[in-house]
Amino acid sequence: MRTTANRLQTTLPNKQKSLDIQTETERLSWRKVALLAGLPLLFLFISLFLGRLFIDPLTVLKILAHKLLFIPIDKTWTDTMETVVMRVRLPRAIMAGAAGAGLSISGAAFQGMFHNPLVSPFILGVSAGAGFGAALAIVMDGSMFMIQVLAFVFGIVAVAITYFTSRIYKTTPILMLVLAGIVVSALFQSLLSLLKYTADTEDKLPAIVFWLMGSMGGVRPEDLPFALVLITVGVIGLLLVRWRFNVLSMGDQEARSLGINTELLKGMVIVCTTIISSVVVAFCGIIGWVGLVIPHLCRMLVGPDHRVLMPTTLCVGAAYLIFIDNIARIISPAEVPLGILTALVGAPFFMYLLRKTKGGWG
Amino acid sequence: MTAKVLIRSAGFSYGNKVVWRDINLRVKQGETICLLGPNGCGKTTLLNCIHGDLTPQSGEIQIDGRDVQKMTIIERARNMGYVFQEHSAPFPYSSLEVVRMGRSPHLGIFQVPSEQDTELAGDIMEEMGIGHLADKRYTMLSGGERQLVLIARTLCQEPEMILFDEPTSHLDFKNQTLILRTISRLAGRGLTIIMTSHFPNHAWLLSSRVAMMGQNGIIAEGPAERVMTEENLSETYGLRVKVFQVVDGDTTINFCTPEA
Repeated sequence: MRTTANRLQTTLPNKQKSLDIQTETERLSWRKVALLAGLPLLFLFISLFLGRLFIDPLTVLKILAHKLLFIPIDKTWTDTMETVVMRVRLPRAIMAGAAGAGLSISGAAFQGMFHNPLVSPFILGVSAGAGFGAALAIVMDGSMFMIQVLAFVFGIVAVAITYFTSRIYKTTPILMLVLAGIVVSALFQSLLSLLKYTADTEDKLPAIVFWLMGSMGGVRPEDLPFALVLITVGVIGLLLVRWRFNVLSMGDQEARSLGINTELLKGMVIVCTTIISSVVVAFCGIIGWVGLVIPHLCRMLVGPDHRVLMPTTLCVGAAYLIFIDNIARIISPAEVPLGILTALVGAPFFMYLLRKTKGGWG
Repeated sequence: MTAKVLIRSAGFSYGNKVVWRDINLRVKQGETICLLGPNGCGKTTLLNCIHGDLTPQSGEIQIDGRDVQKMTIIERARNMGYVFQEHSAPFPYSSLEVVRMGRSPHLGIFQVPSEQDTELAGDIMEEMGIGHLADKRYTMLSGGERQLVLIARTLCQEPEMILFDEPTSHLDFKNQTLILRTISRLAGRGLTIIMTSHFPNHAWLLSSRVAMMGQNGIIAEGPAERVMTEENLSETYGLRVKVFQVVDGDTTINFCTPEA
């Protein structure tokens, strides 16, 4: 109603003051995001020269300039170095960054949507479904490609079952989604156990177990386009509606009263996060704790406003997983599975966060 | 003139349990109406039906002559604001951000609030005398301050009507009065107001129309002075109630209290 607004326009002195404070806080937050954006790139570069074969940073730069920018430079490096940088370390670091960014923004999206601090991107069963799919492929002597396809497909199938189970009266109440997610996860986990129990203990069972622990080791350069495109689509979808998470986090009924089609928005968020996490799980296995911890860390850095929070999770999540993956391949000659490290680092850090925020939201 | 809200022989039940049946009510543009009644008589259910969040099994509810069920979520949010009773705030947003959320029915799905939206939110907070809260965390506010922030948020929607569900519950005496005065100021601006209340005295304070609900629907309806009789109040609450009138200078104050 125009008249309300017009009458409210006739306003009073110190309005400017409070607004200035607010915009100042927001400006500061954005500056932090800009700073954080450099972090993944720095870590990405570092991961190119670290490793069993140490390659000095200058040579790495030369190789990159030569191969990516086609700048003619005298070849002072060996073919092995080139292969290590271009075909092993670079794709691996890019995938780690994309996975970390994707899982983190999905976690932030779900924590906002479920307004619950204990929610991770896997709450709707995507990891359990994907784990089962991968194990099924392994038991059936499937190729790497087959493992990825089945993991991806069953991740999506699990979430679809969760979603349609929780749908009542054309709505999907948050509590129903969580409960259905738990049930579907349990179902696929028991199916997975069945596969493990019957799997050949010489080679199949270890393969399943290692796959489930997560690793960037299997990432090939050929995988990147497919994975990156899908993750980017999901991420852009979530970024586009980032402000709506603020409203959605007030609860479904309240968000509806503010003009938000909550069913449409929730459906869209679930589709985006499911695309992201099933791609990540299909290529890298189950990497826990990233999507749970990083959003909390980011909330401590830039506050709860999702407009700023969502881009922040991308930067911090990418940097974090590149960093952890570097540790995974450096600390021992036999690579440590990524899922173990993310939990080893994530769990104590989460404990610290809980103590510091006293169970609040940072 | 079409009524702002028109309820025609509406009935609602949860499963087999009938909440109310055959409710008829007409609310004119700019009117304030107070729904009174005991716990469980379905006041909030009626409010949710008017808001279009629940659908009555029989009868119909119209807003501006249109079936509320046929209005889109955005149309409803532009027409009606709703201040809920049950309300949890999960994230420590700034109060200004909470008020700014009221702009969402005016923004496209991929849009974020513009500077004008932020200014409007700030103006409304100033106007309501809560400008100093703008940068405070919403979760740190007192109950009364929160309620004012939520009212500011509904004003940010620029609605023609505001629904209040027990706007003074959990508030102390001073804050109850503050909220009631705020509501009465909004009514003075021409906003249509429908509120539920546990406290019959509020109806007099707002000098509003009253719809008294019993176990099956509305048992009496009309101006507070006419409807709030000892007989009606006693019947509604199943308790003997006495009504008193005190003259204080030029004003007459009505209030009721249970019979000793």
